[in-house]
Amino acid sequence: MSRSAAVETARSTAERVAPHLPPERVVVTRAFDCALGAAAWFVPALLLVVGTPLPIVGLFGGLWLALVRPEHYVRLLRALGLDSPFARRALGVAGVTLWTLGPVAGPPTGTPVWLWFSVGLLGVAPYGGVGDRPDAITVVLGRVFGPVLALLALTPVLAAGGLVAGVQVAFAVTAALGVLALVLGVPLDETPTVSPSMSAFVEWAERLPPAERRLLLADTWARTGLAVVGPLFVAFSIQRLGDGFAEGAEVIALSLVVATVAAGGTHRVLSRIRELGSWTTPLLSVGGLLVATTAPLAVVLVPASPPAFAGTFAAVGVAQGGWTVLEDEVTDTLGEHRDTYRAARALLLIPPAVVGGLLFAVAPRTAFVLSSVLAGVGTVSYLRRVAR
Amino acid sequence: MSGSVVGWLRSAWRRLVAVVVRALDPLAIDHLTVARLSVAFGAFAGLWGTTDAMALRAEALTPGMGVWPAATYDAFFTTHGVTMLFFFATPVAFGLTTAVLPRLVGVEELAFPRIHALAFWLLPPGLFVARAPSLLDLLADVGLLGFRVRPPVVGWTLYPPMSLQPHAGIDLLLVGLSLGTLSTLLTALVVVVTVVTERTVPWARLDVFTWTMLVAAGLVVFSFPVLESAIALLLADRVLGTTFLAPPEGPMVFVNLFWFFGHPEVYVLVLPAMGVLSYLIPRFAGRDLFGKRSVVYSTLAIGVLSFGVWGHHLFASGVDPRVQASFMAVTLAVALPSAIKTFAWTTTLWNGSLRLEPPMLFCLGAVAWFVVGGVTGVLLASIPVDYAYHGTYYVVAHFHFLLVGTIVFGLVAGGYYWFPLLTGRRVDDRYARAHFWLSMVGVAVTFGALLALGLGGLPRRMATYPEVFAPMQTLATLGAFVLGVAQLLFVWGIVRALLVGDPAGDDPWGLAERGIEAREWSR
Repeated sequence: MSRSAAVETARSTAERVAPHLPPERVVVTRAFDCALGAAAWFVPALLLVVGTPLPIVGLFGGLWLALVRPEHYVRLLRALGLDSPFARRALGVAGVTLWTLGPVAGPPTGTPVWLWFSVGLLGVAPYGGVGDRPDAITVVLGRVFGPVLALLALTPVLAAGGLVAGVQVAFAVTAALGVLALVLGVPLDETPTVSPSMSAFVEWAERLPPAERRLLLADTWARTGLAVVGPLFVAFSIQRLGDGFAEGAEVIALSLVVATVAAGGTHRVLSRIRELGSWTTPLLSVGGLLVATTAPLAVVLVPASPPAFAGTFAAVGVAQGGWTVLEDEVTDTLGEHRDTYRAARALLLIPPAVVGGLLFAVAPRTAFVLSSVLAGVGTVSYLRRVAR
Repeated sequence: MSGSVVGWLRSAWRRLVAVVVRALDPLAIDHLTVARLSVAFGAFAGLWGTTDAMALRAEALTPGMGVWPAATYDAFFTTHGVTMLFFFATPVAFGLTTAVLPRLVGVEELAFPRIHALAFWLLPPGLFVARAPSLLDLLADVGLLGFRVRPPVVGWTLYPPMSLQPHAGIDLLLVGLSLGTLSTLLTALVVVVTVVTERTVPWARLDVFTWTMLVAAGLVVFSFPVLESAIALLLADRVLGTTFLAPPEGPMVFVNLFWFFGHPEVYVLVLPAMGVLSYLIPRFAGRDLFGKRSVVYSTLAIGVLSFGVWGHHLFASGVDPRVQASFMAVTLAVALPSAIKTFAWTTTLWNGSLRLEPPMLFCLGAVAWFVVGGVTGVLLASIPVDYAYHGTYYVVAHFHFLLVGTIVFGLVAGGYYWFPLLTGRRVDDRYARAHFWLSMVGVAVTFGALLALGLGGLPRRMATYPEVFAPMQTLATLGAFVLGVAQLLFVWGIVRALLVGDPAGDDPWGLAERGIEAREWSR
């Protein structure tokens, strides 16, 4: 990089950082987000360890998938007086606090632990859907550094304390960071309001050309497949790596680091790859769909060793680039019906998650094979579209 | 805009380098430089000890063995106690005192400035030797060391015969502690000599903070040599093979020696905080301290009575019941002067024109927690209650309401108030207020939960506990973590003030314009 380019980069970075100074608010908010994100990966595994019935774990995952986009129910939040950024973050902190208390407060009070987690999820999921904020740390360090740091911090705690104690420590730290973030002040970002209209969407979809319809089908099938095992992906990986859940959580935390770095690297070069030619977009989408198809099988079939799981997670990380491209294609196709489609899709993903939980209870490997099959149908649908 | 950010970063960097270079000047013996070093060192040790506390609370999140093995948990509560009492609270209290004392008593410099500087320079080796076992163990864990020294697991009270077992870590802890004790003793001598012989302000016009610190320093002069002697006896038994403290009688000799130091030590720590409260509350209430004379007499009474209460730590050790009764009586009596102070503070606040600046907020918090910690302590003075609760979390809650709620709050109040004197700058009020409210919530939740656990009969110093106590333990941990992040905010506020804080000016708290006399800002 030439000297003038370096100066220009420094200048533009400084200009983007300046509105966010003083930096402590940004740092604490980002630390809270990253700590929450890192610990949340292990919630289904923790629920399994404390004896939650598998269908309920599946239902929990489905509920999470449905709640993660608060713009779909912003009117409800507004009616409850919970649509302000402060209220949403306070709910998030309350949710994590319930998650911290759940494993220890459940047994003595006679309430199931999953109930504590489900109530906590009502606070956490809407907050988790806020998305990336254009803050100073994100600008300077990118989107990868924070999550990776949080996962790396979590790894020794999981190694020392095991899954339950390790994740509980992470929740307690997250809750404390959340309180600090609340005290320091909340950025005034508002949740956009969307107006889904199912009838208009159905009318529009009926007129869609077959190629566009296949694109939406590919997206829906692939996401359905992912929903079947998504909540249990980390839990099953831990279970395969160790004897039950006694060990393996720290290896999966490091594998998630690999996945995050891979995803970050892929996104960094994504625009350049897309500029290479018109053929790159379908190629990237197909790549993402193929990983969605093979990753569940890989978790079942690869040897139970850390490098094998790190490789699988790395592939999932790289596939994030393909999924982003596919999502962009879907968004371009949907136009003004984008929000309706997303809201419908979020609801549609609850049953597969529950089915995944049920299947996991009976025959875990079957759930993963079904996931691969569903994603495979999506891949074939997409291939039929581009092969036309 | 980019120019302003780059300029901000450049000036912040230069200022940071200047602050570090100036603070580390080992040849400086002027009271203000040494005081700055003491306070900074104490803050560093405080953060280290806070880390121990966070590790303890992390373990308590789960009823069974959680993050740490039992021995590591025991090591953490040993190092937490030693670090906080000897290397955090004492250096900060005397650091603030030596910063302001010359101005309060009307002299240019402390008596024996070289001894004062020497006293400070005993602290860093003391801390690092005392904590060396933890560091060496960590280095061995990561493979950087070919041998291992396990951290001591004897508690801050060092009771034999446990402290007589062969263990290099205990030797290091005792040597470090000895250096810390000597440092405090030398500083206290400097304070006493400065006030008694150098003072130009007449006794009658001496301010209440100086009075309080004179008594605290006097307590150090009379009690710390006893601790130093007890440590010497322990070291002699361990290294030279003597049997001064060996069973069967030795342990009782040690606990008597230890608590003869130990309970005055409580007042060595709480008196500076009380002095800060008595000094600052009138300044931010716009009134003179109500009953200043009675406050000074109550301080002197505490100084005397504190040497007659050590036996209440031994109620459950088989001491003659008549001796126990006498110690109970004196322990109850020492509550009276404390109550006089509380009455004076609240009466000063009554109908005052209160200014809720950060130092005042921390003063009010300290008074509130002093009432809670004091009342729970008075109950413990009763022999039957002590029998029931002395081994439980009730005691932990009681003394943490005092140590954190009163002493730390009081010292932080003094720290914010005198920060302009130490650095020429002011801490941004927004950070100080956020620090206060988070700390209030943290103290209430953490020690309130511990109090409930103690009333439930949960034994202290145990890494595991029955499942029924888990929710309250988790609540205590959540509160502790909030308290922990509050201290990070405190450190950030200080660092930010050092880097880009507003100049404080000659009258940073607007006292002169309100006609309030404050000698420390008068030149």
